[in-house]
Amino acid sequence: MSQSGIDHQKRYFRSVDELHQTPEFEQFLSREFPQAASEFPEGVSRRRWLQMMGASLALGGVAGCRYNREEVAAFVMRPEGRIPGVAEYFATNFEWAGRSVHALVTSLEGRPVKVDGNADHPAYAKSQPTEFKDSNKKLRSAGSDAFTQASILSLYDQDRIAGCLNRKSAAAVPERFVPANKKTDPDDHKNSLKSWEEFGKYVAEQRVKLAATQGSELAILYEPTRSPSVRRVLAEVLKKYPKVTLVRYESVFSGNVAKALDAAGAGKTSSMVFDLDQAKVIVSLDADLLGADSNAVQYSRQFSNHRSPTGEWMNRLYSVESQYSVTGSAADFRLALQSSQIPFLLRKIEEAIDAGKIVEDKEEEIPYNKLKGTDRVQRVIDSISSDLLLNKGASVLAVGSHHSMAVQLAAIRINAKLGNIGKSVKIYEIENEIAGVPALKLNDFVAKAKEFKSLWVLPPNPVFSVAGDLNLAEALKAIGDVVYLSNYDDETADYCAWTVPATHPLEAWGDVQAPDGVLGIGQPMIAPLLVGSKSPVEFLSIMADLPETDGQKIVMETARLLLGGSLSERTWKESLHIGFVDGTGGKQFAGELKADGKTISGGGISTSAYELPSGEIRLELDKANIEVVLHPSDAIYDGRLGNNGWLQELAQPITKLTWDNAAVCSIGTANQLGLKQGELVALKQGGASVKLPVFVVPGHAEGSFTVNLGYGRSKAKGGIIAGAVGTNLASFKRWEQAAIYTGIEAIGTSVPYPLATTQDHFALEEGGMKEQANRAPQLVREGTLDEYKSDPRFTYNTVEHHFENKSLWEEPKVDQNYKWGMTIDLNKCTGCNACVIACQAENNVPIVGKEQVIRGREMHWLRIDRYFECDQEAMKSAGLSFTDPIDATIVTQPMACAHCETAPCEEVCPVAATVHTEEGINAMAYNRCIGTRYCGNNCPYKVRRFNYFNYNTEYGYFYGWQDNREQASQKLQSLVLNPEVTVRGRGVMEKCTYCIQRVQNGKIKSRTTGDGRVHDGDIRSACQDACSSQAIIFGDLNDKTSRVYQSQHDPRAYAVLEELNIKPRTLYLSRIRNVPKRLLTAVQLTPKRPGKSHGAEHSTESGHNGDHS
Amino acid sequence: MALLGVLTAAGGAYAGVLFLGATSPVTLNTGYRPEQPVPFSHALHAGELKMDCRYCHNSVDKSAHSTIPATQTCINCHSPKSAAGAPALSAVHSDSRKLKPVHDSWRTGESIDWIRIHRLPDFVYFNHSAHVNRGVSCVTCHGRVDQMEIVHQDKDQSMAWCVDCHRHPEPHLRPVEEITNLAWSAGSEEEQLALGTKLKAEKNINPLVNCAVCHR
Repeated sequence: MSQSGIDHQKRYFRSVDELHQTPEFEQFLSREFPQAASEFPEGVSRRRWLQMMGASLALGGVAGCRYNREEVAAFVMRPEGRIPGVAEYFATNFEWAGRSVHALVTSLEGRPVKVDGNADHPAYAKSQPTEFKDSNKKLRSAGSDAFTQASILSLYDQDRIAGCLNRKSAAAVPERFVPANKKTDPDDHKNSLKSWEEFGKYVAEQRVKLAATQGSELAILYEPTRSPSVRRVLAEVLKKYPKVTLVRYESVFSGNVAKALDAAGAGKTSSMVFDLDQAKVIVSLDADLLGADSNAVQYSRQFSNHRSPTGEWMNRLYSVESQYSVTGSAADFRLALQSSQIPFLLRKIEEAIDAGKIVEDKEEEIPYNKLKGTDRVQRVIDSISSDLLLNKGASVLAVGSHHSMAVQLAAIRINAKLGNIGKSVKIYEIENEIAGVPALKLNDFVAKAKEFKSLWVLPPNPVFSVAGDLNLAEALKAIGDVVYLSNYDDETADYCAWTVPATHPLEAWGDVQAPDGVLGIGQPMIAPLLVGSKSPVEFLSIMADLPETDGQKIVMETARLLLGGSLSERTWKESLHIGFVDGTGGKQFAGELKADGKTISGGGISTSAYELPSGEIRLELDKANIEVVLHPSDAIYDGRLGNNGWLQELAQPITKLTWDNAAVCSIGTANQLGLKQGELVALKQGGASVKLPVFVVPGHAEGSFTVNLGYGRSKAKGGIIAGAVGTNLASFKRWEQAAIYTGIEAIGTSVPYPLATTQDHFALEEGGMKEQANRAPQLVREGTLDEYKSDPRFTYNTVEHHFENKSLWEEPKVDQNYKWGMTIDLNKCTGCNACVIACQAENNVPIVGKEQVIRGREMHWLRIDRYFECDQEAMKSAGLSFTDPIDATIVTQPMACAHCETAPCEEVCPVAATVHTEEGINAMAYNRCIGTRYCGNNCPYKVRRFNYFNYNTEYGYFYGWQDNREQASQKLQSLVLNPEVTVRGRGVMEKCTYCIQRVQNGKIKSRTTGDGRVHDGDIRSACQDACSSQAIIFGDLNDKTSRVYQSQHDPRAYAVLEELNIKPRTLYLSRIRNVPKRLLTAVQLTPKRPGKSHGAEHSTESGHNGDHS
Repeated sequence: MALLGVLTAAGGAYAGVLFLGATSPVTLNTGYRPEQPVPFSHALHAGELKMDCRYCHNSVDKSAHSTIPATQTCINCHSPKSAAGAPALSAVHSDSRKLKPVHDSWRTGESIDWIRIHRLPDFVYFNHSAHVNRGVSCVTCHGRVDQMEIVHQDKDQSMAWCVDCHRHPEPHLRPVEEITNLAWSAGSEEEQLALGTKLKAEKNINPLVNCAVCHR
């Protein structure tokens, strides 16, 4: 082993640019802000700008010295219980980005400002962390995901249509019934009402036709929904007009799961939910359980409950996947494999399970990562199948919902063989389809569109999301009389005679079922901001002239029916209060599953289609067998959230890419195909092709490209945010293929494409690349469970401790009364990004746009660093190079201001704008800041952000467009701002404040209504509230019973850059991988722990390390 | 040349006056006395009739805001005549012209647009409940509102003024029961200081002066 340290043994890097030391990366390393970061974006030089501004300042004078005359509009009757300035919390439920959201909404003065998870909902309450299951209720928080956190911004989206639009012909300029010079103006109720009046006339005519034809000329396009009310109303419409045709369209195909359950005999409509609380071994095959899965929040909670190395038991997560997903980065062991080869692997695993062979888990002579090809795969299969067999009834095998029927069936079958059904895998018999009504598939509908004279469209923007070979637009055009319920005037609206404004889920009554069938009511948090907007149930019942058109009554009736016919006022109110209707869950399937591929028959499908194919598993690139896998975006789902700026600018979990989709592939694949990062590659399959920028991710499967859906809206139709961002995949997508496209030709075009990725921004610069390689293992410390057991202090020993850190000056006293601190558990963090958006929503963090992100000006107070790690020494000795598949593991590390007790930023501020509080919070006084940026320069964590522009008022939400919108629209978007936090202006530094507003309000509350002390759990930061895996703990370090105190005294706790003696208040708990011994890599077997020889304690010289060093 | 010198000096002086004198909160804000849509007399209601401040400003001890009362609060006493012209049972001045905006608001459901007097900048977060529950009286920041026919801003409410009290709260503390008794006095200055020191110790009142106390 090398004497010089660990630089070339275990090597961490954050991007391929860094690994290859490209000029772009070196620029990031040597400059705090990238070159030209202080230039004005539209070509006006800084100097010219100052000249212009100087002139206008001189002319400005001292006009109006006193504050503007301000009027206070008092209530006429204040709502009962409302105290102005005190937040109210309401439980609600809605369907969002294909998942059920059980939310607790913060409402200030009747205005919703934040959406969090509802800890009382059974989906979350059942899986409370064990350490405070029965204890203090205040400690409970549910967590949520980035989609949910960002849903509040979509409510105040300025691009929502304010009134009904009427188009005389396809793609015509719509009649908006507003004066020509006005764009959408939500304040202009009169115009909006006029449009509704006109629409009303149309509906009246249309109803007459409907009654005459019994609906034989009408089709309704809908997407499968988790809302029982929508399904019930659709069924009512069909009852009234039996000849109506239903057309089912799913933009993100996942229908094979339900079909497989049906084929296996679990009932026509049932759902499968994993209970990871009971799963000691989790095998995820191309399934992003902790990320893209619709149940990810619940799974993350359950998963993290068993991630403590000192807990009763620690689970083990295997992930085999083509893309690098959130689940893959959280996995204990991950194998990169093409999605099209997953069925082969599954077959081998099943065979091994059938054989019942258990391979003993012991350290092998050759470490896992020195193996090649088939030996490697065999060892993985042995380990997975042995672990599954050893944990019968306590394991989960999950496959991606985009996989085929055969794969789904095999997964059900294997789980049944392992005795997991009813224990760690639960199947609920719930109603989740429209009872007894057959629906046309979209392709069949398009083929016979001419048979219909009118159509109602419910799914968001199907013309955009549909596969390119299916000409839905033409079908809509042929029908002509199309009514579309939508938030936006989008691509689909172009082909619709009428576009009717839809409500946001926070504006209307609705309901949604959890996957286990528990009904949650969605109550409106605010009256529709755009007068007249309709929810789907209201829209359908009005169009079909049903007797009940009131949203609330429809939802109540559904709840009554689901409760078996009676619903008392009391039950209703209680259900609204707690956020779910007690006693509505589906019952668990207890019958026998017949998922054996050979015994299933019927339905006209031959049984062989259900059998898993067999094939050779090949980890290396096979140029003749390249695949493309399409996934909904981790940021904007299928594109329906595209106009949400927070999500567009969210650095996606693994790529850290913003504002774009790309063709993500591995280093080896890129090298062998001659592709460069950021170059456009043409992906072709038959006649279908698309050009996308290449994005290289180490550890991605060889011969596989992952591409996200939802991008590439046209500039005209995408709205202010989504327009002209990313690449549209319509020309590539084929209707008959769900997600996995094989036999791809990938041809580089050498055309560069600017990608806005945040991964190299704010690199923790430590004096050059070599040093960085040396230090990175100290920044993100990790070890295996075996190592932790033999040496719990390995985290400390990761670093050499030559002498005790001492300050030259007297240290400030910053622990008076309270001592605020935070712990982040890297072993629980999955890097899902919920905290990033939560912080943005809570703290009025603006977005800056793609161009500004490229300049390194993104404003996120909390970023998630992700480090790739690759054992290059072992690769070299095994004769592997970067053209071979490499095992890159990932550690994610949320990074925000650590509130150093001896903060370097404070030393250099010339105006004392950043100073310490007595309780240890590094505070920012924005109005004192003069914008020298010295503090950002001196911050070792690079967490300070500078407002180059008035992002919140001028730039942010409508970045990239010349501003000609109405004042009212700006008012609408500013409603999302949290009044508890100052909105920062241009030229001011900002950063994480530990949610100082929550700290202050918590302290005030403890004194006005409490016992004068803040107790553990009283104050939670926004990121902590949003974290579904409970990785973030905030609290008082003076309170020895607090969780934050206890976690900071865990042997896994460490400070990043502790040698600088800055005494950060945010500590991290090291990552522990529960890797089976046979799959340990060389570096995991013999980790370098330089601190061990110098460390203060030499307690446990373990046999483990002794054997292999 | 000399002229230029004079002009420069005069310009400097002018700028100095503008920035140091005319923009001082004492000059700008103290004494601000806008006319309100309803000539509501605090001197009558709070002074003569001895109504508690919290009858109207009823969230002052619960929230950051003291709250401008809803129209309904006025109507409790000043309900308008019914459509038939009959005054309500306990109505006071049910046909007063001065009460027209109140009655209009009640009938139409439109707010009364009161003019805001005390206004801190957006980056300052003041919390009423934190102060009144600890024995800082209304009078400390708002003056003898119970003697004001038309309310004006009595104190400059500048940062220095806030910090002054946060550093030395003793002269301004009183028993919590007396916070809305604007006429209350501990007696002499020495007596007040003694009481303030006692209350400060009893209630563990140690106001902080770091930036984050008010700036978030």
